[in-house]
Amino acid sequence: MTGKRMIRFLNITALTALGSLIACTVWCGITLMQQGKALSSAYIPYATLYDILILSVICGVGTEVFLGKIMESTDITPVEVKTRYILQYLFIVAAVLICGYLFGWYSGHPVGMLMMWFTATAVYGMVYLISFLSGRKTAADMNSKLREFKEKKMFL
Amino acid sequence: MKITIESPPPGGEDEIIIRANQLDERIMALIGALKTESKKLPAYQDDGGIYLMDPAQIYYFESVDDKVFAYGEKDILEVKLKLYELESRFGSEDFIRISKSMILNLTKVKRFAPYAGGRFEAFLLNGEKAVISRQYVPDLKKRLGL
Repeated sequence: MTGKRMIRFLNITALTALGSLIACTVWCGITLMQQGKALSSAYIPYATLYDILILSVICGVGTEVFLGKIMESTDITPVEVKTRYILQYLFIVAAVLICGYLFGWYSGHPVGMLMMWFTATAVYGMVYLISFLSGRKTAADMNSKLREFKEKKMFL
Repeated sequence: MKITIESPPPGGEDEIIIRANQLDERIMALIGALKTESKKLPAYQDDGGIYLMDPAQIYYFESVDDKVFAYGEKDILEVKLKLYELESRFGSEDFIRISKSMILNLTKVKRFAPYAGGRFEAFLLNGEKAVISRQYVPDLKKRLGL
């Protein structure tokens, strides 16, 4: 794995871990409120941190496999881009559902599975939104500098 | 402005010397025009015709099947230089490498927009689009002063 791919993989892994921690915090909060327990009395089992780490690494690898080509190449059709994003989303959802079941995050009940799917989609959406907003901010900055660049050229 | 033309000594090369009290806008424009003139690029059409293209009129260079083409607003002409040669020749000016197969003229870019996979898309003044590869985005940002 080249340096750039490794950095990309670590970025995705870190983002997924952050998203999973946020989801974990939200769901724990909801459960505690439903049970009428105080937030200060709650804790996350140590093993869950490893679970989150393992899931994040799997999602990082899957993202690199499905989206790596999009990030590297410009000779890729819009249809292939969409296909790869859909495959990556399906991979992530499958990974969350399988790992979540194996780690005991939810029971095999359809409602539990549905909630897990919803959580995975929400985290996926959040990661995508962060990436989108970051790209939009960079594009706005580049457009601003492009205008300055052109104004300088006109002056010369 | 006084213009003096002198013959160089026998065997000497042509030279332009500018004597100016200060490099004002007019002198800078003149220097720019001289530099551009010296960098005109021979380009070839399908009919065998050879043209000298003004780099300022080129939107981008693209390598396709081991051939390099210069894209104007509407014209496409072949250039007998490799992309890396064009990059070293024009890279310090308005042109910048945006992918393995493309060099873009920044003055012909209307705006940038985010694209899938951390890449960006450049919308050109002639309505065309060019995709900026993720690995060349840092160079572009640096060139723009970000």
